[in-house]
Parts: sequence; C-alpha cells; structure tokens
Amino acid sequence: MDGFAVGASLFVVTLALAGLRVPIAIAMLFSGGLGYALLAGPAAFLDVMKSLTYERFSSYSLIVIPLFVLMGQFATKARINEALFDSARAWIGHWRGGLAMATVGGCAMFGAICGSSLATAATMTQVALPEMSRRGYDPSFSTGVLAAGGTLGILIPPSVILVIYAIYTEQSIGALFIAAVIPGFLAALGYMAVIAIVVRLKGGSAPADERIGWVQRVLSLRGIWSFALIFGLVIGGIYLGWFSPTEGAGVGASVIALIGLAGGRLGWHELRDSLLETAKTTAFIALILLGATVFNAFLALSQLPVTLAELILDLDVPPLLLVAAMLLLYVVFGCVMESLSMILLTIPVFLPILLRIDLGLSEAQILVWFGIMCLTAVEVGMITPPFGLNLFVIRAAARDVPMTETYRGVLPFVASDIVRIGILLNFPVLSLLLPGMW
Amino acid sequence: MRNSGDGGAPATRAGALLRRACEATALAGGALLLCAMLFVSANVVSAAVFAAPVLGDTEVVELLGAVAISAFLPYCHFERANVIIELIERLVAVRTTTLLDFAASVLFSIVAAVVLWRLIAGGIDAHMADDATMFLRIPLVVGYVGAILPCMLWVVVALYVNVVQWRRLVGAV
Repeated sequence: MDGFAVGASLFVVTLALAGLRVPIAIAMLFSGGLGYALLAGPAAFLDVMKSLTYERFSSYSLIVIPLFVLMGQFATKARINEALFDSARAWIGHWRGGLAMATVGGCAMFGAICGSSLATAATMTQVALPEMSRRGYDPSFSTGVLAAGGTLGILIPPSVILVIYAIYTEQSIGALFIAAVIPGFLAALGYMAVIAIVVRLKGGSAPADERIGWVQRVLSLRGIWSFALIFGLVIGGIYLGWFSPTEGAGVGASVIALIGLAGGRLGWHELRDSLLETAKTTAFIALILLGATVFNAFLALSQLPVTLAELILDLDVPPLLLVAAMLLLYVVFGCVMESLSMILLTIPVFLPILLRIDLGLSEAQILVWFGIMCLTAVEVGMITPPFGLNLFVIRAAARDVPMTETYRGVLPFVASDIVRIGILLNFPVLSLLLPGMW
Repeated sequence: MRNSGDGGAPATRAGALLRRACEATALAGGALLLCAMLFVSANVVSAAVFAAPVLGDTEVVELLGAVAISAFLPYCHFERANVIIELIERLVAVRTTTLLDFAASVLFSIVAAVVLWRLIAGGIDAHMADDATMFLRIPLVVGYVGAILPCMLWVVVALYVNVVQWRRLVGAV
C-alpha cells in the first residue's frame, strides 16, 4: 500500500474509532502512531515518541491554555458575571427584549475575560436565566439566547481555540486575538438584532424592565471596572506588545485572583474547584494536541494532504466556493464533533489547498483569516440542533425546559451566524484590518 | 458529543484511594500552575519597573508547565473528562455501548502505556546525554521525572478504568 492509501485508510479508521466512543485524542494517537510505524518503521516511531510528549507538554506557548482556563475559572468564582449582567441590564434592560440583550452583552464581556464557550454559557445561565424567567420571558427564547450568547466566549478574545490554531499554524496568537475582535463584535451585534426582530414578531415573549435613572446607570459601571481592567490589560497589553500571550494570561489570572481574594470570593474551596476544573480542561486539550501532533506527522509522511490538494485543485472549483465548502463541513461536523479536535484533524488537509488557491491574499493573511472563519463556523456547530454542545450545557442548567424548546429558540441565532459567515467570507478585511494585515 | 463519562463515585476502597491520589496529583499540578502564573507576572513587573527581566524565565515556565500538564492527566481520565463523540449510543443497545466503552478503555490503556514507556526512555536519554536548559542549565531529566511520575498514575488509572468497565460489561450482559 502506498502512502496515500495508508493515509486515507487510517484517516477513516480515526473517524470510525472516534464514532465508536474512543476518546478523540486516543483515536488520533493510535492511528497516527500506527501509520507512522507503517510508513517510517516501528523503530522510527518509538524513537520520535521518546521526546515528543515532553516537548509538546513543555512548549512555552502551550502553557497559555491552562492560564487562560484558570483565568476564566477565577472570573467565574469571583462572580464577575453578575456585575457584568447587572450593568448591561441597567443600561438596556428597559428596551423590548432588553434582558435578553443584556444577557448577550454580559456574555460578550465575560467572553472577553474567559476563553471558553461552555464556561461562558454555563456561568451566564446561572445569572440570567432566573431573571428572564422571573420577568416572564418565553423559556424557548431565553435558553436560545443563552446558548447563542455563550458562543461569544470563544468568538471574543481570548479564545482557547484560537491559541491552539495559532500554535498549530505557527501564527502570532496576538494577531489572531486582535483579528477576532471585529468578528466577535459583529456576532454580539447580530444576536442583539435577532432579539430585536424576534420580540417584535412575538410581542409577549420578552417584556421590558422598568427604566432606571442615569445616575444609577453610571453607578452600575462600578461593578465592571474589573472587567475593563482585565480586558484592557490582557488584550491591550498583547496588542501593544507589552507582553506575550503567555505573560498576558499569567497577569490576567493573577489580577482576577487578587480581585477574588480582595472581595472575599476566592477562598480555599473556590481555589480548589478552580484548579481541579482547570486540570480537567487542560488535560483533555493537551492530550488532543499530543494526538494531533502524532497524527499530523503521520499525515505529512503519507503525503495525503498534498495529494488530496492536487486532486481538488484539478477540479477547478472557484476558490471562495471551496472555502465555503470547508466551512460547511465544520458547521455540519461541528454538530457532532468536538470543535478543537475537528480543527486539528482538518487543518493539515485544508491548509495545502488554501495556500494554493488564488484568494488574492498573502499566506499570512490566509492563515489568520481562515483561523477566524474556522472559529466562527465551529461556533455555529456548537449551537446547531440536535447535538450542539452549548445546548446541552443550557439543558443541564434549565432542566424544566424541554430540549425541543431550546432547539426552536436557538434557530434564529443560527440564521444570524450563517449571515455573519457569509459577510466574513466575502470581506476578509473585517478580520485583517485590526492586526494591520490589510 | 461530550466529555467521556460519568467519573462517578468509586464503589471500591481502591477506587476511593485512587480518586484521592488523582485529586492530590492534580492539585499539586495546580500549585505548579499557580507558581508559573506568579512567576510570569513577577517577571512582567520586574521587566517593566526595574527593566530587569529574569534570564531563562521561559525555561522555568516550560518546566512547570510540562509537570503541571502531566499531573492533570490522571484526574482527567479518572473523571472520564476526555472528549468522546456520543452518537452511536443513540443508535445501539446499552449492552453494545458498554462493550464499546470497555474496548475503548483497553485501547486507552495501551496507548497510555506506550506514551509512558517512551517518556521513560526519553528521560533516560536526557540523563545519559546530560541535557540541560540553555540559560539556567536545569537538567532536562528533572522535568522528565516530574512528568513520568504522574504519567505512571495515569496508566494505573487507565487500568482501573478497564476493571470498572469490565465489571459494567459483565453486569450488563
């Protein structure tokens, strides 16, 4: 069997193993290791594995992940989410659907200090769902808002997925973070527009809060100083080159820990919980990265990505249509597959194609732009029924709301996401302007 | 798709003991992560205020990171927090799902054992070659040992999960 056949067969084996309940990281490690041993010899594989695990785990850029995860955990324990929601509510709660918009605003702000979609959805649900229920919001609508709002956790930097994409494609983490700012802002704006449209079409589903005075509104901003400080320090610091993403994550986590300690909200139990949650998240990400490293080394040996790229390029498909097909694949598979492993599995296959088609962009521009497109597409998968992961997070918090209701509530937001993908696809400038790549 | 399992309360004394060992190891890794966090922050402040960054700071962070991440592995697997795709369970009987889970846990153990075996071989190589970091001359074997010890626990957890899954299978069949 030639390299291409081995590559293609083991790619299918990996997907089959993952479908048969083998952890994705182990499926990639197993198939990648087997393929590497078949193509380069067992001795070569065993030799590579001597240093690979330690090198992967001791990578300086990798430690940014547990630090950002820890930062998100500390922010949750310090209950920064409550202040963010309260402040957004004070300013826009009196609009029709204002509580839902405040939820999106709170999610966007929390997403700016937490790199996880699931954590943002779970955390904001605790605060916003009881308030929306109390005000008589339609449960289908409110759970849909929370599922969609949660995705802002990964869309708005810092984002764990972007960090891994950057490590993997050897791009600047800072550039990708900055590139995600406008698309993240557009996402929040799109969700708010959806809320405005839905509440006008279904009048009784989202009653307005009472209007509060300007003094109280300004006073509500006191609660979000910590958010402004951390976001400004971490993202601003990385953007201005004050420090590297790892340093930014370390400083951000330290500052939130100090805020939590000073506010008496970060005691031993909270610290212990934060560390254990960070341990779980970090370990599964690190193992997936190790699996992807072995798997991609094998794919490179097999020449599968290059051969596949040539086959696809021979078809003479318009470049944008090709990119759209890749994104569609992310949306479809994003409904059943974990987003990180899906990106890591597909990037080595997609990149040789992307870098050879004429998109009118330089290699660096393509890598940054496609990173943002990937992120946007997998985030759609996270809220697409029936298996979108965010929907299950909301389900865990809102057990009395049938899943079918949440499915119904989230669909308008999926439509908004698809419109946004179309805009970002056709206007790469929106992703490339801020990192100074346009 | 969700993380791979129920973690769940261990029914046996060995399970309870293993849980405590995993938690303690994860918390020790967490303590190292906190050290890395503080070290990075102190270095930023030192560089900004005194214009004196610590030489070889990345080497310390890399060492702490490698050991911390390794220390997280056993707890993650004990809690079955590794990501799996949950699609087939909607299509097949519970008995089939249990059988698949047992097979997956066996495959996990094999892969984990190979990773540990090669990590030990890498540590021996690093020791024999006297490999050390560039600036601080920290022997690499220190990091390897720090990673190997929790990975040993990781393999023990993988074996324990096999036993648990086997019992479920026997009970389910």
